[in-house]
Amino acid sequence: MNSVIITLTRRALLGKRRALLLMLLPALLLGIAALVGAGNGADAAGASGFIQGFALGTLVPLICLLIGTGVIGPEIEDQSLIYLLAKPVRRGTIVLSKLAVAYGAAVVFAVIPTVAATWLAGGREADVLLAFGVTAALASVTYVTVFFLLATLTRNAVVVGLLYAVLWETVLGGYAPGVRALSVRQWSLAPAEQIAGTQAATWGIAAEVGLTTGLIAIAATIVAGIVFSSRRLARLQLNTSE
Amino acid sequence: MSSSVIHDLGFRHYDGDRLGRSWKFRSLMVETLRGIFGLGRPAKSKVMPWLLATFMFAPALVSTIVLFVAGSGEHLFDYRAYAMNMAFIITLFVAARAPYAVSRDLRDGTMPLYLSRPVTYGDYVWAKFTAMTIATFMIIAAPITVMFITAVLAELPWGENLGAWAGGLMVALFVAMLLSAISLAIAAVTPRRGLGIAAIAASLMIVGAIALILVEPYGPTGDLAITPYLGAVDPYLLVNGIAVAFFESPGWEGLPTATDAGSGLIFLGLYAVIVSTCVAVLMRRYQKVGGA
Amino acid sequence: MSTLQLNAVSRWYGNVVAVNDVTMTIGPGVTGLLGPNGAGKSTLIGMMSGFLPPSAGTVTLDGEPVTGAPEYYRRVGMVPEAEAMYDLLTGWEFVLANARLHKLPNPQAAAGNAIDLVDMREAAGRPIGKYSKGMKQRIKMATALVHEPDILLLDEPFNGMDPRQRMHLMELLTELGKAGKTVLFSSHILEEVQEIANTIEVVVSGRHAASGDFRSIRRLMTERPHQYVIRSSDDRALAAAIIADGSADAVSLAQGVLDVQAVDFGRFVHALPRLATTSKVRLLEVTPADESLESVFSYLVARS
Repeated sequence: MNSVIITLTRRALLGKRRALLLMLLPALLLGIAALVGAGNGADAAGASGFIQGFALGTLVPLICLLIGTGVIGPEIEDQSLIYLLAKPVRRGTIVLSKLAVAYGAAVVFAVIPTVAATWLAGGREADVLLAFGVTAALASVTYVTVFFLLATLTRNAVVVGLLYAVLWETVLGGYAPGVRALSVRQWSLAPAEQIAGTQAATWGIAAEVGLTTGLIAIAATIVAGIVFSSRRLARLQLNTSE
Repeated sequence: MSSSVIHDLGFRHYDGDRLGRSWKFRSLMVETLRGIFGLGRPAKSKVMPWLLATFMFAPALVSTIVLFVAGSGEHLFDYRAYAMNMAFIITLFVAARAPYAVSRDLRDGTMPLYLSRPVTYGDYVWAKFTAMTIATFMIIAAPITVMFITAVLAELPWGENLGAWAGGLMVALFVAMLLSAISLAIAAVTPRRGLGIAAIAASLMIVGAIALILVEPYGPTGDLAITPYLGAVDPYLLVNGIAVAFFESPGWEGLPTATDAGSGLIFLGLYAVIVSTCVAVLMRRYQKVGGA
Repeated sequence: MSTLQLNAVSRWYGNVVAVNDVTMTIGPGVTGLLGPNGAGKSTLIGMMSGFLPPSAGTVTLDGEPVTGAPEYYRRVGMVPEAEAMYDLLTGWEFVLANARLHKLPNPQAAAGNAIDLVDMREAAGRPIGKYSKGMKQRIKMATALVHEPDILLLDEPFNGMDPRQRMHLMELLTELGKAGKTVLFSSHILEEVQEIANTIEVVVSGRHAASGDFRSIRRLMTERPHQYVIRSSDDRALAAAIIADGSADAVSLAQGVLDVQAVDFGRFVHALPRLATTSKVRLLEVTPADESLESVFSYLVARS
């Protein structure tokens, strides 16, 4: 990892309007969680439904999409990435440094807000908080890596990412059970089901895949994402305009 | 006494008729519309708009297959709720293409070139808005028209389907205008293309999610009389309200919505306020560019 | 002392050939890459800098193939054409970041030197987003110089500079060239190239059209006889008129076409329509037989 790239990336990510959008999403999650909590009281099952649907289903992928594409997309779009590429720095180092910033941002803007929202929405038990914290962390890291790779592959990374996160995981998953097993959300939910233990059914936490499968799938996705992004950067042709 | 002289190089003034303002508007509009679908541009620019337009047909095709194979006697989806069912794809379409339509000119600094021609910023904004509206209308209208044709071929009741289809087209127009206005306004204030796409998609998805939470019957304010209006924070549900009140739409997913014309007028008023606000934002944005 | 060697290099994007079979050697000193917009200059620089693999042919630096491996950039400094940098940083922060990315032993001093070289000391504390075009060019130049590379590849470095900044940069490049660095810069403006380049490489429509110092290129072109192939309604009458006029020194009639060898390019192209009119001959087709040199020629002449 390279501290200069980390600093440059952090400043670009947290600059100006993207940061505003990044703050807005978790703020919204917390606001609505408070409303849900006020309506339901301390009801772990209700909170669980809300967190799985709204937080893990919509906001976490969305925030990760903004972060994952945000740490590299703009530099590819305006070609300023050339200043990093024309340096004696390995491509893998560039990828890892940028991803480190992205993971950090995902913890701040996605994972912590999810845990806080769980509490606000009425999931006050330690196990519920832990379960959704772990799920949010695993999902965030995986989503960020995947969306980062997408940003190095296509200028339409945001749209393709949303198609995956919403159409594939939510809509298609509803019709074809096979699709649901191929889902970052389901993989990340597997540890939550373990943590909830006997309470899993009451809290409505049920993952489509087992713990081992989920963790292996997540690890494989992250490693593949890093490897392919590094390769892609080595071959990126910045000066080909549309 | 200076010996300077301007040589006559033989350039001539053009004194003939010029095509009028409406022609310029039309040219800009048609060019934008073609660009939205990537026509006359490299294959790379065609992928996304056509992929999304194709997705828009999926339910219509499924419904047609069910209609013919299973002989269900009616389509699975109502013409007038089609846009609400496909809200996500429409959102992605406007998110992907609205920044193309407006923000490139801002970033590349080509605006002064347009405005130094006899094209006013107003013409520019209306041309872009019209093009985006037509494009969005087309991707909604095309699949429901396919549904109407297959309904006629399957010898479903003529009059009933014709009325519903016409209503569906009106709903499509309402959705197209509203979504275009919102997405162009957001795109114009986020000149970075990638960020523009993300901002439009995120905003629309978030208001959609909020609306669902607000109107769900067991939601925190489910028992209030204002519940149907709370849904109007989502543009699609706002148009759904109009569709139910004026175009006899059966509604969408059984969400509570007002059915009488009086509340329809409230929806209509809200609609007008949002569209004109967005157009005003666009006008202001481009007025500034023109003046600078 | 470093030498970049391009050997039969071509590069195409889909069906478009951007660079076509170019062989050139860029040695120490200042080399100007001259050509109109869209001639393939940026593509050539892209290949020299290791960002674009050639579709055919090889690019080597002192015999080693250029592959874009990270170590290559220790020896190469680049000024890309794209204007965007990290707009939120100040000029100083950005140059310093570049020095650190090069892992220089004393990045502070290196960044300070580079900024002084491009005369940006005063504005170095302001964010890049607020710079004028010329200031951005100079900061880009500083990032390319910060690690004192052997080879400098500059894509349109004079764009947007005012005359004083331009002079300053020209002096700087000349000095670097004298110090034995290999400096290559692209431009579409003849005067810039003429002023400081020891060697000029002319590229037109992706092809290597001329190479050498400016004066000899120019002489080669003006003194070279120009060949035209002409088809007309009456080749014989036209041939007679051309010979009588004296604007061409050889005319031959063959297989329904007229081959003309003109001595004075400017005079011939002006005389031809007049001759055709007076001898009542309709010109059906006029083709320069050697197109690439022709276009280079008109290009150079039109701007000098």
